Amino acid sequence: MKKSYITRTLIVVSFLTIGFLINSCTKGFLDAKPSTAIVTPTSLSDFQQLLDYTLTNKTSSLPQLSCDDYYFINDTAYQAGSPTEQNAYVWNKDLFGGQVARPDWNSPYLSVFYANSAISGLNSLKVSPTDQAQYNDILGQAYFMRAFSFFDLVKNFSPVYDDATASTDLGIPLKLNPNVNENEPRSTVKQTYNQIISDLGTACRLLSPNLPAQNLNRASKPSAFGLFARLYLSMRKYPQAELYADSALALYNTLIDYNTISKTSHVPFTRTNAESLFYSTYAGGYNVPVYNSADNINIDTTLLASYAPNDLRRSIFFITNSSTGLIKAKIGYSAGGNTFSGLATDEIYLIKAECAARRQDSQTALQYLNALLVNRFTTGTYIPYTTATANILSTILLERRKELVWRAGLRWDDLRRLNKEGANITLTRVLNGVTYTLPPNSPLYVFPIPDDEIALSRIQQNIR
Amino acid sequence: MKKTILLIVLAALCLFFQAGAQTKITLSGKVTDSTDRPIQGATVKIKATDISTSTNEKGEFTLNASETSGVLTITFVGYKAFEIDFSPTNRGPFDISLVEDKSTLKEVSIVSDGYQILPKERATGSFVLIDSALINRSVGTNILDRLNGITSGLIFNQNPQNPNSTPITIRGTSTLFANDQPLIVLDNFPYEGDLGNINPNDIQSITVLKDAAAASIWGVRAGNGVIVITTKKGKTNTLPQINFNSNITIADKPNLYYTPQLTSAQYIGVEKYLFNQGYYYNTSDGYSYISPVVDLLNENQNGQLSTAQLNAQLNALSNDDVRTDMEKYLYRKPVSQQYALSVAGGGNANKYFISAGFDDNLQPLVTNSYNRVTINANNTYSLIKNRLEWTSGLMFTQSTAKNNTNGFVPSTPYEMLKDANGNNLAVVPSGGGLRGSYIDTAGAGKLLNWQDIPLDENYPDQTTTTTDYRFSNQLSLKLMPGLQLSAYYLYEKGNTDIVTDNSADSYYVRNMVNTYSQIDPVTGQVTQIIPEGDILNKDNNSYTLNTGRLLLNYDKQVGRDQQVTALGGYEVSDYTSNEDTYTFYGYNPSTGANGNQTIDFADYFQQYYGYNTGQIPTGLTSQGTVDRNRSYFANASYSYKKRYIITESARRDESNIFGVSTNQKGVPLWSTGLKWKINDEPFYKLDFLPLLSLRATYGYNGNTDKSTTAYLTTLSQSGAVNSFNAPYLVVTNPPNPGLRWEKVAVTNFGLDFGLKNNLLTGTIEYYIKNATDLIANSPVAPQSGNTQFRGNAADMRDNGMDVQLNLQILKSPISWNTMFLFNYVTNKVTRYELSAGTNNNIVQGNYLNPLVGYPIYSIFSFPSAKLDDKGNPQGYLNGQLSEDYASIENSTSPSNLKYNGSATPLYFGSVMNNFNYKQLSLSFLITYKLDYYFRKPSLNYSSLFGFPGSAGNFNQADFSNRWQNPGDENHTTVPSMIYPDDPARDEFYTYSNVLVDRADNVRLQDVRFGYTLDKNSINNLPFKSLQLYVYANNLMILWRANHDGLDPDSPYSPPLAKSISLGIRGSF
Repeated sequence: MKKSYITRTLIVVSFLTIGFLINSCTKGFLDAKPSTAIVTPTSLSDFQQLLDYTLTNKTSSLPQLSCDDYYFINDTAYQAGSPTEQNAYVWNKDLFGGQVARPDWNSPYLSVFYANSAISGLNSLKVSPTDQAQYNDILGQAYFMRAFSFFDLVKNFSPVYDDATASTDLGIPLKLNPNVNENEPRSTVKQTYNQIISDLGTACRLLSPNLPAQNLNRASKPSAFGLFARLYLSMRKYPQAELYADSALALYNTLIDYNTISKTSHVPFTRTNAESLFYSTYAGGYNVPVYNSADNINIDTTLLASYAPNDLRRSIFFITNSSTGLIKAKIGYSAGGNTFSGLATDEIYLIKAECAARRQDSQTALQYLNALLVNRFTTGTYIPYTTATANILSTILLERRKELVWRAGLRWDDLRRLNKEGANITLTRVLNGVTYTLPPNSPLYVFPIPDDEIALSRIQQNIR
Repeated sequence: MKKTILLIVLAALCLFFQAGAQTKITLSGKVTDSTDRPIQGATVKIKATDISTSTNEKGEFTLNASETSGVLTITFVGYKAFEIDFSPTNRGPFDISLVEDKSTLKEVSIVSDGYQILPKERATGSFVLIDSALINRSVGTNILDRLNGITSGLIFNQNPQNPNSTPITIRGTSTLFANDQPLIVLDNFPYEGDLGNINPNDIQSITVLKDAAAASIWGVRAGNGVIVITTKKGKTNTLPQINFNSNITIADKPNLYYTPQLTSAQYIGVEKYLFNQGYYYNTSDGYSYISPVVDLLNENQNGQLSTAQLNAQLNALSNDDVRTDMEKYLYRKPVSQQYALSVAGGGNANKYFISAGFDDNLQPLVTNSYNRVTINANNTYSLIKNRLEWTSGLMFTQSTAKNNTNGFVPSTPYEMLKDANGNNLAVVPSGGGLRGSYIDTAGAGKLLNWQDIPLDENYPDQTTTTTDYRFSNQLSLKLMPGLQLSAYYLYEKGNTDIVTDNSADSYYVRNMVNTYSQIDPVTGQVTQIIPEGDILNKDNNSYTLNTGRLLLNYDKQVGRDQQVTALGGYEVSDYTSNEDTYTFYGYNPSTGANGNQTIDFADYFQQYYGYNTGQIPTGLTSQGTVDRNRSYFANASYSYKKRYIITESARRDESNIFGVSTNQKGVPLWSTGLKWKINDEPFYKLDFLPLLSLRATYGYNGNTDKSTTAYLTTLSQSGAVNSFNAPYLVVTNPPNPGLRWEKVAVTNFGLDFGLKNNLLTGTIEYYIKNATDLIANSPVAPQSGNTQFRGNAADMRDNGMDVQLNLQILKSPISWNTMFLFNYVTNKVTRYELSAGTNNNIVQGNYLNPLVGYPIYSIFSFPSAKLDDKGNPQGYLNGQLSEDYASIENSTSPSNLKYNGSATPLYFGSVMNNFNYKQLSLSFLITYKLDYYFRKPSLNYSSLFGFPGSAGNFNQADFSNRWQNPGDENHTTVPSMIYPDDPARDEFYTYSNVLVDRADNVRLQDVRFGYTLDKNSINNLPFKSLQLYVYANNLMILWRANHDGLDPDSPYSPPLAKSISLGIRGSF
């Protein structure tokens, strides 16, 4: 090899080396992001994406498992259920049978954590005036998410709201910051509801008044009003519930005419259907509550018989398995995957109707009930209820049950509430010759907190 | 030669000046080996005095004698001692050539820490050296595997509990979640590529650095030890020397019968039992997975099959065993071939080494193979009168692996692959597969054939091609005597392409097409959402590494007794990696065209069966990482009278850790060391023990987990969207403002000794590693929205002992050497801030839920009494007999648990014997691991039953030993089969005390036999030397503590199969 060649190569190599060494001394060298996949949320779009996470806004399946919408067809079918499914069915004191990591508790708290992360991140963000509207909307979504999740928890793991005992009844731990190291003790029911009302109020002030065209997993003012209506209804504060139902419907009141919906399709609705105000689903973990679930259950036959022959809901809400003949819930407003537990206008119409009926305004109550039902019957066949109808309130409650079947466990929530009103509904199950009963207002209406939470945070367990 | 003359003149000049100043005489000279290579670090001593020195890097020495005449002794480990008389007229320069002492085990006494090469005598730290003879003793494609059993303090397969753990551990565990891999340094620089890319034949030596000195040299990544690999180089002024090595290895087929399983008859029995109990109730949808037997039972129940027909079919099935077909059609004896050729040599001012290697491996699965081509070249020039040295190197590796991604995993023990007439049979694929009776009729001829016939697709459909380049440059300039400036630059680039071509007629494609086929109920028209053709998945990974270093070396002899060596440097590295994936539907392999544009990826499509809808996966992802590091380091050593040596080192590392402010990005590391060579003391008179020295080091290592950061960190999964097609972020790291680096304080004491004539040489080391602020995972209360959390929550302490003894038992005519390794290591968690979780968490994943006072890898179990009279296992809850399994498992009181012992051996090591007789050599390695525990596989009914809709796991032991009748509880511990199954009962039994056994074992790891021919024995041999060898590996377990015939290091899957290699190695 020639010397000159070696020298030239050497010079090139030396420059490369020195160039690289000098370049690396620059200030930004160590500021490079270690992975394209990693993001520390700093922009509004980052926080929006955080709240858009697929596992947020999930609700408990326990109310669905425990309510009287369905029955196990026989003992063998019952044995095929998971321990929690079996225990929930017969309202066993030991609900989880050793099962831990229950999505019914963990998923809402995951949403609380995401909401808290977004709230604390957004609070330290400087906003330009042009971004203010978007900032408010995202912060509003975060407060809504926290309220939505706390409400799901308190209605399952605490006693029904009662003004008389709310300040002594045990509520839920109120985690208000994303700090993972601190455990909160249980608050009182009053504190819990106050927090939810405060968060939801903040959300209402911040959220956009328009329903999102596509992203129904994001809250908006109509859905926040809708949640307020559902919340106050469950607290039996009917005047407030009606006010918020009015507010929600003032912003959005579209109903779907079920005559436009396929009766044969397995997926009759789209995910962005015209009635959905807010999209959420069951957190999962069980077979029974899913749409068209395993072949060991059937929808309650009395409930099925209550649908009139020209009621389109009978064929749109339910599906009959051609080989087993079993009837189960068809895919609903979530259009696939997990069961819908969000908010829709039909529920708001029913809240409005019920509250109006409770203050003896039959006219208004029937106006809203009929407005809903006319969209549920074959065109031209619906005979509207009139003031002559005996007991308008129980008519509305029955229609509420028929309309909101297999949705958000609302039947169970209603059982808790209505029994508190004195409805005196006793549930019974018969299994292998043994009859199980759930008396009204039983402590078994409050689910126990999963063992892993008790073991790790040592919070107080519910006495059942 | 010019150079040598110049040196002699210089030495003579020195001599002249010094002679003028003193009355005593000055001696000088140069020490080389038989190939004229200078020997650095040889001890030059005036006999019967304490005057001594050691040679510098050129092999030169000068020494002031107190007497005018006497005897000069030159010694160097591995060489025969040399004596020469001196007098006023004969005072040098002496040209001394040492002769290798073949009788000593070839203990190399030059260690490389990757930055510098230094004589072992001057090292205060803890090093293990593996020379090329020891590396080449074994045969295999991978370099690291060859360290097994021959490296003191290093153990393979240490942490079987932790699936993320790496196979190598050096001196115990000192981190939980941060990187626990030793750092691999290849020729001056950390190696980022796949170690499988290094050709073992190119390796000259391996140095394993074990203590704090390692980290302060190599930085945070060295906290788990450093493995420094040095490749072969040429020698100046030598003729080209050609070496070759070729071998072939044949191993046994994996022993499929090692893993216990239910016989077909037993499994059919279980299926009948479950069927009668109504277990398959949930699968009456007509399509979801049921096994062939359940399908038959169903047909019988529906009246489609008579009971006589059913029994005949079940009888036939119960005689089948899928393993016979798997052995016959899926497995073979793996054969590996390896060829290596190299040329080394050098001229006056340059030296070179060039090598090429080829490996071709046929793997146990008939469809799988691997081959690798390596090319390695390096060249060193000396320029400007030897003041400038330039070394450049190029390494190139290309490997191709072929695999079958549709590998058959049987879902039942009776599922055969061929019928009696030799026709390939369809199987019912488990996870997500459809039952046989459904796919036979589905679509009434309108769909593609929906059968999965494994033997029709028993070919490789995936090709992984890896290409790696490594280009290195080193410039060293001598600024003045003793001071040298070096600049290094390394560029490394690697690319791995994984291409999976699912051909149009493969089950994968047919299943995908059918699943999304839409049949119009009115017209019967079929619409295929997925276009006809192959489905091609491409996964492209690439990385680029740029590293530079500036290094200043200083080496100065001060006066007669003092020597100072120092180095300081600055280093930067920039590593970037990228991964892109693509999927092409309707791919035509001959034209490369695809049909992606015809697919609607956004819509949800109704699946052909059931009521689910799904999107067609786009398969498009892209992501990248950047890893940047900047370091400053300094290293100094001072020796006084060659007997007292002090070393100091310090280093600061900075990296682009995410979400950490700049002052937290860096971590200072330091170490200090001392060495006392007692045998050089004037008072030292022990003739039988000519070598005795003491060493000690202390210092700090650090470590960090880059995935844990101080701020809320989220992950955006490329291409992932929520139900409304919006991209989303997942929180991967909850905020943790108090996050700190992990710190490990390491203390090491060493004693080196050698008996006269090297009868016995050895090293005994004792170390303590105190790890603090370890990042740990712990279960947190679900109310936090998380179930686990990482933080600086743990402290841990390891201490142990490494002993290495080399014995020379016989010298001639038969030589017999024994190398004995003994390692002791204990580990204890000394602090753990977060709650350990439930007892179930502790027994199932103790490393995630450590208990203070116990090793991080511990075996805990539920204490159990004998079975009750119904075959139920009985445990203890707060001291009382209990069958409340859920409460036992969810108890948070560890006093309800039994601690069996460490899951990793407390004592391990090996004994290697080498025999040489004339041309014959024989060597065998026995390894041992003692005092540790493992869980035996047994019977788990939840796993056996599976879930309705997916296959159960028939790989269960002890089924025939289960409790069946009252009274059985007196001779079995295996619970009865109950329905419905109780998962808590199964978990209790799986993790109960009765299934824990001692794992201690002693194995005959390997045997090597060699026959060497050289010119001394055969005159007209066309080679300089030629060796034929036979090497047998994974031979047998000589002793094990368990009585079940289990290999405790592989209790659940077949252990490594025995292999035998034949090879030839030569040089000319």
